[in-house]
Amino acid sequence: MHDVHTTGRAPLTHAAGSPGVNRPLRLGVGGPVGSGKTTLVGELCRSLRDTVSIAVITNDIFTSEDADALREAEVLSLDRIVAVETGCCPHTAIRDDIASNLDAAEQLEQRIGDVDLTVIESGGDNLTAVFSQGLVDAQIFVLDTAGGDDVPRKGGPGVASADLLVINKVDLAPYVGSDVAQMVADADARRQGRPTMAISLRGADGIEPVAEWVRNRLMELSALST
Amino acid sequence: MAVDASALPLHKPRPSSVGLATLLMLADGRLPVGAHANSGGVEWACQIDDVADPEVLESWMRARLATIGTIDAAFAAATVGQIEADHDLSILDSELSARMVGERSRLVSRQLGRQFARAAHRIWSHPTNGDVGTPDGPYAPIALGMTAAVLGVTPTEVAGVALHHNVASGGTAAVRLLGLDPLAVAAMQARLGEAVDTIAQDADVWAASDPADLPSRNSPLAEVLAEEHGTWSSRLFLA
Repeated sequence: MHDVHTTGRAPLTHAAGSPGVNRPLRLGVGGPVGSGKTTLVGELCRSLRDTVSIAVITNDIFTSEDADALREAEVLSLDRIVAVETGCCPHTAIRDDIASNLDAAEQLEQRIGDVDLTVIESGGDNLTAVFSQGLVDAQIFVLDTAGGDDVPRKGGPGVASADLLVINKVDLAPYVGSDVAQMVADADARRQGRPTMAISLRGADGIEPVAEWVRNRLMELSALST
Repeated sequence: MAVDASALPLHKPRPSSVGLATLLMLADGRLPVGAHANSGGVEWACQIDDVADPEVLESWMRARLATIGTIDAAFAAATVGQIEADHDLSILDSELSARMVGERSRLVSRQLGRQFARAAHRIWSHPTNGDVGTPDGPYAPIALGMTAAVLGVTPTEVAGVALHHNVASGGTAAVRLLGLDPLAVAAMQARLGEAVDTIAQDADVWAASDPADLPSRNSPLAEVLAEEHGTWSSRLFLA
């Protein structure tokens, strides 16, 4: 057995680390394809960016589609957004093998220097996809009202265990015959008291309740670390 | 065509300083080091080189094993030897850079190396931080070799693991990208086993060799295509 000699530079961070102490809060945003994850991340950045230093990592099926959308929307400066490849399996990259996301988070946080919040957006996936505890400190799961009002009833790890469940596009409910009140009730039945928000991100200030929830997570963290 | 198991030579058990379970973990594609997002060049091969069926994939994979596969195996084995001899690994790092001239290939190998070093440190709590004196972390085969040295894995074993990952990554990517029959791909992997074993036989020589004399036959075309792959706007795999 041999010890490998180390030289000079500070070690790579090997532990998952502690948010607010040696790294920023890491927030996962997941949910099915087309539910509004990229819109939510974009709106969140717009709402928080004046007071919070934010970095974003996207896990698109095709490398940089979502990152490009966020860059084009100019929600953050370009150097604060990176995309990682997921080898055709977006859920693997956020749950089973988080290595490339961890690497991207550390590289990005180190390069920017003063990050308070790193948002990791998953690729659009199925209802069983959740973020690993080794990657994020909190996660938001986003559903589409028009994606079927039986989805909260079907449940699954995303619906049941996300720290915040967002039911998006409630403005579409009358056009697709979705019962939003029933969706929220079904979600509540599965979530053991964890919050659910029914919103429309396209509406004025649609993001505000979500942004407020994220601000509270950041405040909890700064209270913990002082 | 399947491999006829009855025709395989019987090997006597060989002494190894590492536990079988440790070696199997190192070889397991499910080890969370980010390998699932590395096609080992197969993504661009599917698009540019017309790899579309298991037969062509096998030819392509043999070429891969003879070029960057051999270099990876040699540098993993040499890392074990250099550490045993108490040598500075920065020479190996420079020698591998000289064999991997494309900026994209280097960037990818260092990312995979960082990911491996980060995971290995958490899993086996070994005292290395994966640092070879470069700001961007170790190249992938050197990171693998560093862990092998700490765990007591032999040069031959670590060379075999490096080659196995080469074949497994490419095969899995081909299944995902082309929808190839996974059993046909597994049969291909079994047929490549002999090539893997043959290449790994040189590992003890590599472990004792001057880094400048390690294998250097990389494929310039592969380097160019990897560079181009890095510029694709729609990419499913890191490399």
